[in-house]
Amino acid sequence: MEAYFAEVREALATQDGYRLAQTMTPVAPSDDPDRLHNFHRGCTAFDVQNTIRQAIIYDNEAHIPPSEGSGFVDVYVAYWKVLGVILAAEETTNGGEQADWVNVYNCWKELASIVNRHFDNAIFTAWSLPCLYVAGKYLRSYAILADEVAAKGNIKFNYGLSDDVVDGMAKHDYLEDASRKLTDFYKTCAGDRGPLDDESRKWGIYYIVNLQFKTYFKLDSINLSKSVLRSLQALRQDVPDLSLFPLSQFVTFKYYEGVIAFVDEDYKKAEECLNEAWNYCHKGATKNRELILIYLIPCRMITSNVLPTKALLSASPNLGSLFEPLVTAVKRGDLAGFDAALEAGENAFVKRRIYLTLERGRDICMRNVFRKVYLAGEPVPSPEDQTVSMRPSRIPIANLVAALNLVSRHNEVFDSEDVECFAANMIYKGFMKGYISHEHQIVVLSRTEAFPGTGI
Amino acid sequence: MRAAAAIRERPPPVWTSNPPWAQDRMQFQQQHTESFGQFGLLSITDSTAYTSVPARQAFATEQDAPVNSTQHPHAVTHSPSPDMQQSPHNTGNAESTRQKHNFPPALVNYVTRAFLPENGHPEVDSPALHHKLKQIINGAAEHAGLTNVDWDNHPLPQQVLLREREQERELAREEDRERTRQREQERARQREQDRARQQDRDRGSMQRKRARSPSPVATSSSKKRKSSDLGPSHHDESPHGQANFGGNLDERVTYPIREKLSKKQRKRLGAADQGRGTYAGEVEARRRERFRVTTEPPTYLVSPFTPAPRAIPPPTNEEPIVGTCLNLEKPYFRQGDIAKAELVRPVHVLEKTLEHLQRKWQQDKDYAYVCDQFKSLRVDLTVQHIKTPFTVAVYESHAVIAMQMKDLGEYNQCQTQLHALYKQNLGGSPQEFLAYRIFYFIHTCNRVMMNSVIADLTPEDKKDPAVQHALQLRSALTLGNYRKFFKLYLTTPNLGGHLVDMFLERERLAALASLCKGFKILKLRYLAELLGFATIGDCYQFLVKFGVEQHISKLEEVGGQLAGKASFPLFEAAKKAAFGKVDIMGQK
Repeated sequence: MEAYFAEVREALATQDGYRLAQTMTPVAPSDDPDRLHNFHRGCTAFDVQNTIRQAIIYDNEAHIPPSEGSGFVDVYVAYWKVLGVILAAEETTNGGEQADWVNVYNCWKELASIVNRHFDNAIFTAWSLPCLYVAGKYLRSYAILADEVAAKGNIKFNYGLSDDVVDGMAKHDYLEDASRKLTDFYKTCAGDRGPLDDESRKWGIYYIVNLQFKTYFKLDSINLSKSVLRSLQALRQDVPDLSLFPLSQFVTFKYYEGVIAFVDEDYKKAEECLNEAWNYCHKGATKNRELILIYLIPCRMITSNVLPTKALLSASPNLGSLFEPLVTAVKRGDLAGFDAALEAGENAFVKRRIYLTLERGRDICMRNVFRKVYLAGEPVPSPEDQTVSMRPSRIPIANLVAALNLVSRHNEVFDSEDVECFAANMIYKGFMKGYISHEHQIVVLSRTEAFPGTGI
Repeated sequence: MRAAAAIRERPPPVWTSNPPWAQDRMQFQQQHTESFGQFGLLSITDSTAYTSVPARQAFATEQDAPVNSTQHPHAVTHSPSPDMQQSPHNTGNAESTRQKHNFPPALVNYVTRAFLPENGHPEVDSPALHHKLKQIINGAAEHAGLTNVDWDNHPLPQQVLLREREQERELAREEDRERTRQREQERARQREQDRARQQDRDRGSMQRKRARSPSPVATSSSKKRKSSDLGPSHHDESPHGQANFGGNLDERVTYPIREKLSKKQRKRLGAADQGRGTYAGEVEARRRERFRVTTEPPTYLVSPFTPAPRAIPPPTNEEPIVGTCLNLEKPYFRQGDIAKAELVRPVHVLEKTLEHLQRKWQQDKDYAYVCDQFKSLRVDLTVQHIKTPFTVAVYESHAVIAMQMKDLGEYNQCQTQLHALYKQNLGGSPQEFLAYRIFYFIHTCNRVMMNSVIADLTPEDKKDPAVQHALQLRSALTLGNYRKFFKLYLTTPNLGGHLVDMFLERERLAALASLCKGFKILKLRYLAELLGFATIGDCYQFLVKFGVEQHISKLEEVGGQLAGKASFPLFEAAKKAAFGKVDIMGQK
């Protein structure tokens, strides 16, 4: 208990925000697993206010300004209160029963509001921003838990007279509520109109924005993420450059920016952002690297028709199982295999919103089939120089039909008109150079770079 | 410390004329004020989704002078003259002109009353009044017979108009919410929070001002405030912001400059300030200063999704009401927060209404009328909280009719409702409408929604022929298999063809762009078959619409052939244009 307060005072005195934030997480540090219990048992509801006031303000060797001091007293009192609820909930959960996470969420929200208010009122300054991060981070976590409880039907919601016949069957009431609170956090950070020095609250903006993204993605409302981005775009001149923020925040932000662009089909921008995220992502953060690759791989496939190497995929078992079959099928020009892989992974792909993008990989797959047909052609002497032999540039459509029917599923039979369609598409999309002669039923390929980017 | 105080007291030189960086900053802010003003406009147009009636004055005065000038608040000042009574019919339809002689005296009286100056309302101008009166009388003549209406107690047209506007305003918000329900909820709550917090802050800042005044620091800060009051000149430069923020704008424009200055001072003070706690009062004052600036969120922070002032429905109707109105037909208007039972039809009447409307649609094909009646039907269902298979039937009928008339806005509303209704297992034809839903999202190029449609597919859905067809059609499009697409188009089950028609031309252009790139010569006969035209003539007609007439040759010998290379740029441009103008919301 005393050690705990000593830690708080120390953090306050040295203005070490991250250290201070560690004293208000709902997770005990590994070197002092009983800290939460001890702190909570150390006071009673009756004397908690005084105890903390004593510890922070009266033992004030740190010379904290009074307003800041009483601000932190408010925070720690709220923290003490929520700890009681959290510890009880954890106990219930350990006992195998349903804990009242809704209550936990509401109490934590109180704490979060206090922290936010003190920032908004400029009682806390930039160095203690990590406290805001902690408040926001666990607000989100507890909201998710509370939603789970609510979804199990322990708590019923009734919004009264709803707009149309069907009322909102909202499954994420608490998370939505949390997202609104995070918007307040955002405004608190962005609303600091002081100069961009070390004291500006704007230094908190990217952490909060990342939390917002995370929340909105969970809520499945990409549009809200986009409006955050727009708002941030408008602020750009007034916010320190992203590159000055901690790398973790930079990488997370770039990841979300990339995924938002990806969903918008802006693959060029998505690739740019994801590449940056990938380049700066910590080598050991396997999970994050995997997440980045899930979008970067389809992205690269669309923008430059590049497929991931075996080595990259094998680095992570998840990625391997997700993409391996599809990638192999594309490389081999195995249409049936491609369709099967797409179908098998449909749920996983749809969940990550990459299904519709991966589907377009079929073009590359088909290109590879056409390319193989071209390569299989018996070399003939070049018209200019009889001593040089070259592959025939005229490919009968019948050959392509036969090849496609060989690799496609048995229930899918193509005829020459289908193939003409495909060939026209290949040419249009730049996978293949040449033209089609409907009359002669041949595809005439360019003598140079018939299949651009494939070495032929 | 004394030096610091001296600096503090010296009037900062830059306050009177703004330095260049301050100008920049102001410009930046004004730009954003303006863009916010546009958002503001948007939200207004949102809430007035109707165009038939003149703009409301409340908004017009704030936003739009031209609209205001067309309004004649007291236009209805004509004294009642004999020919005035017939004026609605002079321009009325033939039917009502024929019946001119049969006007019951009560009606004549009613019309006279409508034009009495003391019944005029500043918000209803003369053309609108005429129009409404005409509507009322024609409506009565058509449905009830002029003699059967109690004209003495019938509400005057201006009253009807005002009520309708009120309801439409309400409805516009409601409809908006239907479409973007999640977003809208977000907005409303945010708005509420903002308001609450604003109040908090106002209260807070007042208290702080009061608390601060006796302290020595306050003198300097109040001095600053005085200097900043030079601000209002910026005020006039930003007309958009004004409407939204009123007098607060100047404060916001000038604050950063002042803040910067105070920071500069602070820098100079810096050295004296190192020892924490020694100057605790000053540290606090600085923070107050920082805070004071943020009492109002800066322009660019006000969320881009401008909250429409939509109140979360008050829990007035805890118990769903049961209507007592027995009319088969009822013009559409939005029930207010508290629905009146006498204006709402009970289910057994509504069931007859649906049959009646379907019959009426088959006979007259008067979409404007039928759509209005359906909307009224839907409102009656809503206020009575009726969620039964009958509700599904109503929405399905309306969706089908709207689809046939290419009224995508109305269709989308029905579809959204149906999607939610089907989840409650109330019967209907979920698969049929799922197929339509797929077509709709193909049309709007809404990949996000398409993704969730695919995510929500059940094995049962996948077995349904209509859904299978729609999925195949989608896949054919994505994979560029035009031949398959147009083949599938010709075999579209149910009424899906109406929706596919909406993007047919666009896809034909896409196909043509691709074909022209790949083929040197394209025979029209081949194209007609490939692109699903009924005849070569149709195909030719379609092609020449895009200016490729001179690239078509040999019309007699082989039925025409198109030069691919020359036509390609034309089709490519047309394709881009066609895909560019898809309205995502599907609104007209």
